Amino acid sequence: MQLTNMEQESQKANTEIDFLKSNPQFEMAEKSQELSESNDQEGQASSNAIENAKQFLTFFMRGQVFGASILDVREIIEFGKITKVPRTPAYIAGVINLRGSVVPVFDLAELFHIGHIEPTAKTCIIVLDLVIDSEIEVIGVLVDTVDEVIDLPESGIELPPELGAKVNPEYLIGVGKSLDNFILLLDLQKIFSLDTIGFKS
Amino acid sequence: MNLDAVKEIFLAESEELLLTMEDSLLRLEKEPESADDINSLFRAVHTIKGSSGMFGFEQTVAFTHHVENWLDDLRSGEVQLGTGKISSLLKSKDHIVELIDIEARKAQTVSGDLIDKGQELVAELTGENLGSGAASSGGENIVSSKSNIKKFIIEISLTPKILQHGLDPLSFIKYLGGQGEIVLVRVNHDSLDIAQYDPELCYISFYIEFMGVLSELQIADVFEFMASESQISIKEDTTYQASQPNLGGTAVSDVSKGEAAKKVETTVNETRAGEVSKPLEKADLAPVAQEAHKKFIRIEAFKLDKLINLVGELVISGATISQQAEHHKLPDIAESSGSMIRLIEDLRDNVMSVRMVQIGDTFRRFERMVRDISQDLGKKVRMQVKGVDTELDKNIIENISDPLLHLIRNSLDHGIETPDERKAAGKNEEATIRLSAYHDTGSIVLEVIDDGRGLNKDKILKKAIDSGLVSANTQLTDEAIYYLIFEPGLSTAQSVTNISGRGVGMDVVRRNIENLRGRIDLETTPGVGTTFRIRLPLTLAIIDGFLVSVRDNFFVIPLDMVIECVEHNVAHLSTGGDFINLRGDILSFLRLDKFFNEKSEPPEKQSLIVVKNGRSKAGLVVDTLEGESQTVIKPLGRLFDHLNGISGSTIMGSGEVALILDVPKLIDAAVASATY
Repeated sequence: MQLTNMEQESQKANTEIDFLKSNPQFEMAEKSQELSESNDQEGQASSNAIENAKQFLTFFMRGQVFGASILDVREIIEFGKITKVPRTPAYIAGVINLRGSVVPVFDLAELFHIGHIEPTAKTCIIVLDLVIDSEIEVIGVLVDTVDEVIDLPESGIELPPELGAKVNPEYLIGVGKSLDNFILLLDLQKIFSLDTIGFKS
Repeated sequence: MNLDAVKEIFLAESEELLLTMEDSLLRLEKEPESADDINSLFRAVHTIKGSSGMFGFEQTVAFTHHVENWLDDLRSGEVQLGTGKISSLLKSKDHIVELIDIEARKAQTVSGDLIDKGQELVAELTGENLGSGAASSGGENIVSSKSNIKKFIIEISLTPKILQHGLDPLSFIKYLGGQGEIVLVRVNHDSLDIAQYDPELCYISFYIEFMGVLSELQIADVFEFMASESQISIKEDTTYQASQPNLGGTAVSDVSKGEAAKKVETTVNETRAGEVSKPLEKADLAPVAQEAHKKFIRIEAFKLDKLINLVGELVISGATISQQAEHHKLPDIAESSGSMIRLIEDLRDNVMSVRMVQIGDTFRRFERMVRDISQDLGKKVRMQVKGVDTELDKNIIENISDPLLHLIRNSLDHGIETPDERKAAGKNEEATIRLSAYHDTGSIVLEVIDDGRGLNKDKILKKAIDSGLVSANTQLTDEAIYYLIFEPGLSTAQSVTNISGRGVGMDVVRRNIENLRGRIDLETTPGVGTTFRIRLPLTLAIIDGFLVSVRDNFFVIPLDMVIECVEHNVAHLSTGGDFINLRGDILSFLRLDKFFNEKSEPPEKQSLIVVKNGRSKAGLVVDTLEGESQTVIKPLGRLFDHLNGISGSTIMGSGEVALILDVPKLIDAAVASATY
């Protein structure tokens, strides 16, 4: 089960490469393929051993590691030109052209009050597919760097701490432990369904 | 097969047919002799009956059957078409709409009340009072008085393939049962050889004894849809007839039907051949009706929308390629991409034209309304239409029909005088409402013109002052007063009628039209009439835009909002407030950079774009003017729904996103957020 998932993931990365060959975003797609390839082997090893493991894409925002369920992630693209939309809250970074569709991009660091994402060469946009209010929304999230795809067994996910977390525990599904890092696992569905965000009419 | 899908087709088709029907009726009212219209009327009803029968919508079939019979008599000249009949037929049409709505769309049983209403309508039409189950009367269609019950023996041998054709013989027999009394049904399955049994074939034949007031032809009608390949014989049981002598009826029937009736055993097809003038080219009529549809393909709108989106994207990527070719200095590629872009643009124009629908159907729908309302109001009104083949984007057509309806109602109610008033004013008693559509410099113009009394300036002004819309000492030009009717809460009707006068009309009209990126103007001359002129874009998907930039962000201003552009030095702009002297007029302006919270310093030179703001002007200060461009509109999604001043986005040749400004809302938002 896990194996096929991983295969699909790497196939998806491959098709993306075909699509993006002529595109500056090409480099990033390559990176995401590397990511899933390197995980492919790890995945093979671990998936049989661990049951109910969930896969998360980890990334950094303002020095903190976050995780997003890979089921929500559609693709990762290189940071390009974002068109600012005037008179919107700071956590809306703007809109981008994703192969002909106009997709909103969020700066979650602003929403979490931990600063804001300053574009660098490593800045990426994680593109999510979320069902909000029974409609599919394609949403971009600005991150400082994308790290890796990890497997987390259920036992490795703990409830968010009520005190002391950098991020409102409401926004988290839990905290993952990996080696010496704590990964804040984001409840993206919940975050983007907030009334204040405005996807709901 | 998915029955729902077939039902959708049925619904769409019957809607079209009913429109045709109404159309023909309204024309017949003017020229009652038009054989074409009588025929098309008959065909419409006939086809609806036929297809309803296939779905088993019993009440629809029963009712249309009566109407069809009467129309049949009309065709053969047995009955005449008085004005009363046109009204009855129009009501019948409405009744059919109602029946189809209940039986087909909602899949409910028709209430007894509605059935009674149907019978009343039939009675009104035929001038006879029919009990349920009785067929319509009249001439050739064979005498039908209640006492004239005849007994028939019907033998049906079905074609083995009937089930494959999707026909259920039982539904026909059930229907026949509703027309009289089925005394006996004997099923014969001799042809069934168990060893050779194929479950997809039909092996049975029927022997039916039936009693009713129908004629052989009417019974043949019942089985018409299965008649093409099955052998059906219908004969009257004369022994029964003899025991109940009914001289007149039989005589007429025998004479009128000629030899066909005398044949003891006639297949339906033969009966038709024997008839000369009578209905029974019906079988050929259905194909005729279909002929007209042959040239068209019905497709779902969303498929078209998808296609248009894809083509829009193709336009954008084409532009990207040619831009890159230029950037990397590849003349070969630039040349071939140039020819590709031409092809894409051709493709786009063609795809766009697929969405185009003629305005005629919408216009025609109003004809009925004009007729009914003018009768209600006791006014004589003739409606003229012009430019019915003018094409508009389907989305626009759908959204323009309500505003048009309001305008026409208003003209009928307020604009047009009663015949007496008209006579007193020396006008023709019969008023005219003209609807016309035409192309004019890249947009479509729709006009509603009446020759009524025109707008009453004083009344409008008084009303506006009474309702606090303007203050009593405001000086207004005549034109400004007339345009007050588009303001919310103004209705000049003395009393509220059921047609208009609730004061919600005209401002809603204006808003709806503005939502379609159109605008409405009016011209009026007291005593002569009023013209409402609606100007609409050709399509909603593409606009002519004017591209500007503010720092490193691009914005598109719809070109039809732009009046002129003026270059200005920032320093000179800011004296005493955000307004300038533009050739003697005061023009207030909005600095987009400031309004959009742009922090960085403005460039030395900025430009001022003069845009329309309602009937006045306003200025927008931007950094650079980038020029005109055709803009494919991309919606921004619900996240930005509440955003005032931005109506959508577009993707530029460079692949970057530019936002489309909604100028009136932008200025409203700026006014609302202004601090002094």
